[in-house]
Amino acid sequence: MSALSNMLRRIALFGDLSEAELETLQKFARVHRCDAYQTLFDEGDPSPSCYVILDGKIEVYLGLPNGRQERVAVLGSGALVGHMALIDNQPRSATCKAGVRQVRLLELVREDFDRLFWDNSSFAFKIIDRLARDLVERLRSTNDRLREAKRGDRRTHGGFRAAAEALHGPSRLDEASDDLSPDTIEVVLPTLEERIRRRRKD
Amino acid sequence: MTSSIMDFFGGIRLFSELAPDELNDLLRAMRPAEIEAGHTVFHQGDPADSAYVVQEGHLEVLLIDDGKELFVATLGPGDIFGELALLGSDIRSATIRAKSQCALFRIDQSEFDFLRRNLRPAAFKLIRTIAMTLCVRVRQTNQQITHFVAESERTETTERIEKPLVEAEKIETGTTGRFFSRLSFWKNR
Repeated sequence: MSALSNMLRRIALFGDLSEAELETLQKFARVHRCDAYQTLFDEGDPSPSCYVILDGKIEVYLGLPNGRQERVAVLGSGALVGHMALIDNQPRSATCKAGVRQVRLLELVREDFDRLFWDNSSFAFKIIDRLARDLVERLRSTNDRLREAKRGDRRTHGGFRAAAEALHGPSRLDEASDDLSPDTIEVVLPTLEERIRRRRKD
Repeated sequence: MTSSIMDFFGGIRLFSELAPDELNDLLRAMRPAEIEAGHTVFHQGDPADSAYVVQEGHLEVLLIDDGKELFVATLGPGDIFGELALLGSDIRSATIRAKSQCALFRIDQSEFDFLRRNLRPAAFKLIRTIAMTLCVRVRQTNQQITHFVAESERTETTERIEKPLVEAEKIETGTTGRFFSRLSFWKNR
């Protein structure tokens, strides 16, 4: 197995993909760079794609009615960003920005993903299954926190922030995967980008 | 499967994207179930191992909080419930009780997992449609949370300013109160 497949398989979302399915992934994923402090997308933006963080940190912000933005989560290597984009076609539910350094991400475009799904691609089947399970898990832990925060007479800010973090923060799906070493990424990224360049020429 | 049952499922939004042979795959995994009026299909907190489709009759969705029943919604023909059991949810999040005699279709997690493991498109099309309903819930929850985060921030800012004053007041009245009660204690002696 190639170093690239090895790295991709360490990302929990791709954990149970076969070698052939990883090939499919490499055929349509793109590498996207988001410079330090730059916005990846804003709440309310259209959502044509979903991302997986290779390295760097993405900060998630909720826009409050008073115009202030509250940071509710920080996502690291292996985490999914904007993954509802692969399921429905609704605007982004939060703002995502790069942290203090450049973030490199794998980008999966919904249009490509949908085409694979309706062609009965087992790659797309496994991804949608993982994403759906991730949403179930997020909703469950968010509702637990929300119930906790509403209980008692003191509805604390911290309690509701914890609920927001459960919804937007790293999930169990992400946790298994935070050991992508920067060295591995340095080795495999050129391979991936070379493949993408070659594909564009074809 | 009879064509009337095929028609019934074809008319349900959740199954509308399935081709006839895919629908058949799912129908083969289903078992009919009857439930009497007033009986409970499952209780909140029960282990979750199956999903149901309502063919006939009506049921109510109840949330149990502090021993009290909170009515959430009514389910009727064509509705699906308990579907998160197919996506790894292990505990029922609500109680479902029949309001009238009901005819249901039941699909077990194990049967569904068999379709999943064999990469049957029917399973994943259903998962995709369920996932879309999950996205709607995530967005609703997100709006709720944003509201609460903003509201609690406002309350706590007000408290930070007002609390020291209130505390100071409490300390004063507290002491005075104790002083007077001590006085009356001596008087009563």
